[in-house]
Amino acid sequence: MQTETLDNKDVSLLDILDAVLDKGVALRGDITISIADIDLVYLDLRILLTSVETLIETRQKPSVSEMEQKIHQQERGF
Amino acid sequence: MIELDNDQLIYVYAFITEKQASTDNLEKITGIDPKNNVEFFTSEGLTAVICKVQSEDFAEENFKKNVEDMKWLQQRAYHHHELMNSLHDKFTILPLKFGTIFENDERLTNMMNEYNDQMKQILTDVDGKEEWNLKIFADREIFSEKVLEDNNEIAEKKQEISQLSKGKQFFARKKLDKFIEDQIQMEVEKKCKGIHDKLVKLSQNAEVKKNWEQKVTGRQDEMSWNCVYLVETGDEVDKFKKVIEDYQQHSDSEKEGLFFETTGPWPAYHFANFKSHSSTVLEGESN
Repeated sequence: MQTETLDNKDVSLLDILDAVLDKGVALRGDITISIADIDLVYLDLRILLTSVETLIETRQKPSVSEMEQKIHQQERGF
Repeated sequence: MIELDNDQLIYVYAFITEKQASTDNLEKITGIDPKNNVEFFTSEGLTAVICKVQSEDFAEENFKKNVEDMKWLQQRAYHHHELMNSLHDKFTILPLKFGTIFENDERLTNMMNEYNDQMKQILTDVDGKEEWNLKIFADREIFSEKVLEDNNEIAEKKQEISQLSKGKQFFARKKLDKFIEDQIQMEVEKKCKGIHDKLVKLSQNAEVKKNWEQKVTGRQDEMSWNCVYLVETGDEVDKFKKVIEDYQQHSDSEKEGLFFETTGPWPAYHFANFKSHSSTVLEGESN
């Protein structure tokens, strides 16, 4: 078992994004400008994908068409 | 009043009670905009923890563009997270998600007054509690071996297939593979659900999250459970961690192929949703 306490820098950016972005803010509608005004599911996925890209770059960079295909699949909700 | 320049907006991190805010006069803490410090903004017993930001960074269109820039996002998301943790250490907080912006203090005041009761209720609900995230990874190969061993139906089907003509065998095999895959999936889910049920008993609330794909985790085994639990700080957290530790030990000694990863304590990001009326997710509703 692995436990990461939050003062430990090892908590990954993805973990943080998963916490601070997932499903978006509760204030939808009341704020004029906010992350809530855009389709959050879409945004979250895109951010995850971007980070995937960065993660993968250090290992093996996927071809553009692969990434595109993945994004299309995500958009269609697969 | 918050004095804003023309091109400034208000970034809100969290809400706390005015009573708690009055015990602390924020020393100089740099905000999400490094040129500005974090401030308190109070209305009707609630205090918002805020920072003035530039619209070039956070106005809707600009913000959408900026979050696509991994470096920009990373710096700000870390800041949001770290500041939230330091608030969480000092106060009972209602944490907001990253990127919650108000145009001016009037809008913020209106919102704080309109949802005043709900927000105070949440602050009471999350008081003395913290969020823990559990991810369970399953080694599909180990599960697959177990399924093949234990499931008589599979051997029978294999036997049946060998009697078929070559052409029919191909499709029958495909069907069998799918059947085996489903059995593995069911086994994994059953395991995770059993653990979840036990943890829910130690929690005030829980929310099941989406599993990350293997491309994201970069791991060989598969993320099969991703869930956040709201747990009372102290003894309950210890019990909660002990349960997971025991499962890990059990899995290791029995070679069950499970790996547990917990992160926390987080501020109650998933349990501070004051506009949603369907926030009871103890039954494991997936999003």
